[in-house]
Amino acid sequence: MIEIENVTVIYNKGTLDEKVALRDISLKVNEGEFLVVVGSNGAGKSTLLKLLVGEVKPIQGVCKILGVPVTSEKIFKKTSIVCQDPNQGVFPNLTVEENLILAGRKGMRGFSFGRISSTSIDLLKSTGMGLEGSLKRKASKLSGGQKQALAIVMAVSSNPKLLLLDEHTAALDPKSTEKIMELTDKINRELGTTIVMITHDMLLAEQFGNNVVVMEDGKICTKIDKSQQKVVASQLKSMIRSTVFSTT
Amino acid sequence: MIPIIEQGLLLSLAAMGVYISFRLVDLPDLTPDGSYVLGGAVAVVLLHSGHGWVFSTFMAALAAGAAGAVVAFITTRFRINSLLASIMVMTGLYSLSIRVMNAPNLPVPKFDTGKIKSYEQIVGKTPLDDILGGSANTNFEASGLKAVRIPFTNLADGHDLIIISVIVLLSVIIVALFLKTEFGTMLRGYGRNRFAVKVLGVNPDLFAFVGLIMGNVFAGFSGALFSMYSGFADVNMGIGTVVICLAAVILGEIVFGSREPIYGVIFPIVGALLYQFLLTFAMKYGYRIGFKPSDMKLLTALFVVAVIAIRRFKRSEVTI
Repeated sequence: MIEIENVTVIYNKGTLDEKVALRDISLKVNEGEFLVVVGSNGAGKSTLLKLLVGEVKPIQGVCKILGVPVTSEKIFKKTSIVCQDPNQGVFPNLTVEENLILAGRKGMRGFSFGRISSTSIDLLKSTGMGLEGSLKRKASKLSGGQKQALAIVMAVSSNPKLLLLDEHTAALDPKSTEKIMELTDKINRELGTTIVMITHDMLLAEQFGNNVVVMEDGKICTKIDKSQQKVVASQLKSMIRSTVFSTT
Repeated sequence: MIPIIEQGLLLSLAAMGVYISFRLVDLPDLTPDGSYVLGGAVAVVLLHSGHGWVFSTFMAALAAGAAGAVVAFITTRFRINSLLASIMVMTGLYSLSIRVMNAPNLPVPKFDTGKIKSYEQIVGKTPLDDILGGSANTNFEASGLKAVRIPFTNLADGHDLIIISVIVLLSVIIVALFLKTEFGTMLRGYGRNRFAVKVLGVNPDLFAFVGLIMGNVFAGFSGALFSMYSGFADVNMGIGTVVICLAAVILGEIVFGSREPIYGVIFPIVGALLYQFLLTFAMKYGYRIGFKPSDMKLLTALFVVAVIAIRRFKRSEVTI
């Protein structure tokens, strides 16, 4: 699904503010995988995500999604992203229904009066946040957790091959975080959507995902395969923590 | 009373344009100050060359829309703030409008309705002859200018009001239906979240073009109709259009409060009517406290600033 080979990304190259964000990293993510990327601030997690959506271009190496090099113009045709800020993933001035009509498929729209799909309604129900009863409410009137749930439903409504999650639970309270993570896990298990999730939260990295990548100073220092290594929860916990804490 | 409503409704079309650019797509655009004039200039020139008022108005709206497209191009391609880009285009349109009219102003050729006679018919020459030194003996037909029927009679008998009301009503219906479509819904969404549009695999810049073109089409449309209504197009008639329209939009928003019927398209209509009544009231009774008609633009600007300031105190987030 994702192939990153020897990618180096440098911000402000050739200036006094030059900063190496990714150093010769290579990473492979298989179809249907749920990859969790953890690391401290400045480790390069966000740059990795920007690389995947074509927001930054590598000065060296190749980044491909489904065998096609990433370009910012077309990448969102098969990829969806949910960001940390719940307002970033929804149209706040539109109703929940209008948001879902737009999210139903990727690409340009015509002059027809769209209708909400049954898939979107089912997804909305599966959030367990009562959104199906708020179709006529404006997204700006929803709570942070509801907005993020709506953003995730919107992100997967178009049936993307890849779902990128950029600390999507960081702005939520613990209860909302739990529900959102259950929904995220369900999307991976039941829809088979490949997920790359970036988080600061060690507990989430321990509980969710098939694989965990730990980043440090622009490099991937560890990739932990939860299923193959069959490590018990406590061992995994200590592995992640020792790796991250040794870098901070 | 009737002329106030007529003028308010004519203004409401330009205010609709300002509502689209400032509110719907959130791209502050000052071009209507110029595209309003360009619309008037193109319409009157086309009337002079013998075209019908419908065609002339259509072409005027298209010309103004082209000005909006230029602003969108500068904004999206060169990543220049839409305000700055529109100031440049607006400045350029001043010269362009004079070019189009080949004069700073131009009267509308009047068709002989039997009720009123045009200046040309009465004096046997056109006002341009006075300015440009044409022959005083040349009669109207021989001057090469053609008399074209325009929709307005200026008789304040309700005839003009019906025509203007129908035009405004149709405009509101068309815009409301457009905004209800998936494309229109995305346009509304673009105004508040460009990133979400991009995530849906659509180039957000397209909506900057659509929004700015639509905004200026309405400004040009209004300018063309106002020129026909008032009997002339003048290069200075657009000064303050954006601020006046913004005041109208804000008045409309105040009237409706937190409600947003038909996507807010009704705001500029109600606001412009209210503005026109306030303007008439101020002009009629303002002299008692020392106001002059020329003070209205200053008062309008102060009103807009005051409303923005009040909203700033009430809410943390405010847009112009």
